[in-house]
Amino acid sequence: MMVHQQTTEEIDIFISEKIKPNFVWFRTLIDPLWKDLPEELMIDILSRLTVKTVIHCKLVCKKWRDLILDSSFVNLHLSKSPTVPIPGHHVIPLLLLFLTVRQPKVLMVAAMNDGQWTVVVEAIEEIIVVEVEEANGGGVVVEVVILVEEVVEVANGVGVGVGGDRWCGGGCRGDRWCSWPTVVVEVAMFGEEVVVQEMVEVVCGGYR
Amino acid sequence: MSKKTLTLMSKDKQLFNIEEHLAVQSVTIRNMVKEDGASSVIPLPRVDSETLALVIEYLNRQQAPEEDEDYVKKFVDERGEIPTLLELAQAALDLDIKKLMDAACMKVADLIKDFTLEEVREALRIENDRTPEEEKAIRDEFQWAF
Repeated sequence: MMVHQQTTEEIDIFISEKIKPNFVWFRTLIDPLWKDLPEELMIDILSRLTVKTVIHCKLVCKKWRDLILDSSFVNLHLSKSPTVPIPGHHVIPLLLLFLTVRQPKVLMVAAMNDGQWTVVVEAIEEIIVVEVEEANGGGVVVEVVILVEEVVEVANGVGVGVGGDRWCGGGCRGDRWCSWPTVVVEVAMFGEEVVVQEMVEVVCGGYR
Repeated sequence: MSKKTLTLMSKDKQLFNIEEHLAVQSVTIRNMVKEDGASSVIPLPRVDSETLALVIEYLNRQQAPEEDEDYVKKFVDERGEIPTLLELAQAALDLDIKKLMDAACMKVADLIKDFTLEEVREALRIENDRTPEEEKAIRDEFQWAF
């Protein structure tokens, strides 16, 4: 039987045609850069991205999704987001709200604490600052209503919202929620830090 | 009095000398020096020699403190390749050189922020382990973000 001896040219052709095109793919197998990196580093990098990019990154791989969903990530992301701290006020990262609310057009929010509507003090890019009084035991439930583009008629209750550039009354109470998507966020406060414990529910009522 | 020199050893066993007063910008090294005088070679098992050379270059900089911020930014800008930046960030993490790590991570974030998903995966050599169903679910949930 004849054994075909490969010439140097043939080997060169083999390398350039078969191996090089696959090199990038091949490299991902032999050299998984990401797997070697400390988690701390990746979290640090992800925490410097905008909310929108963070959501895109949830799709990159399972590991990233888990990192992003971790509550410590939310806090880190919050700490790196531009904000103007206001003494005596607490901040809730909008990241959390974005994670559950489908409407992108956030104009203003109203927060409810212990049956009392709270005026939102400021909304700065990714941060919503609400005025919240600390309840006994350090835990409070804050309901945050996100107002979407349109100004909607409300059934009862008071709240504060803004439609477009106009301030208006808004918000409602009881089981007759208006069509504003509602996010209920449970937070526990330790000193000045807001630690988010659980996303309780998302309510989209059918009032309108 | 001659200046005291420390020796750092990279993952691939290369040795680098650096004056102690410069090396202690690394909190890790500072603590080692405090504890035992760090007379012997300091091994850095996760840092390769190319990266360590960069770190040494950074530590040896002769910048006035007020220009330091600009310097570190320029320093990472010039090493715009993601793998290099990640190695640098990891070395800075291990050595606890906060400014360098912050700048390197910031640069990586800055580079990947406009990437598509595929580009992110390729740049960081991440295997896609999300199913098309999972991807669709997230895209549906966060329509506004896409």
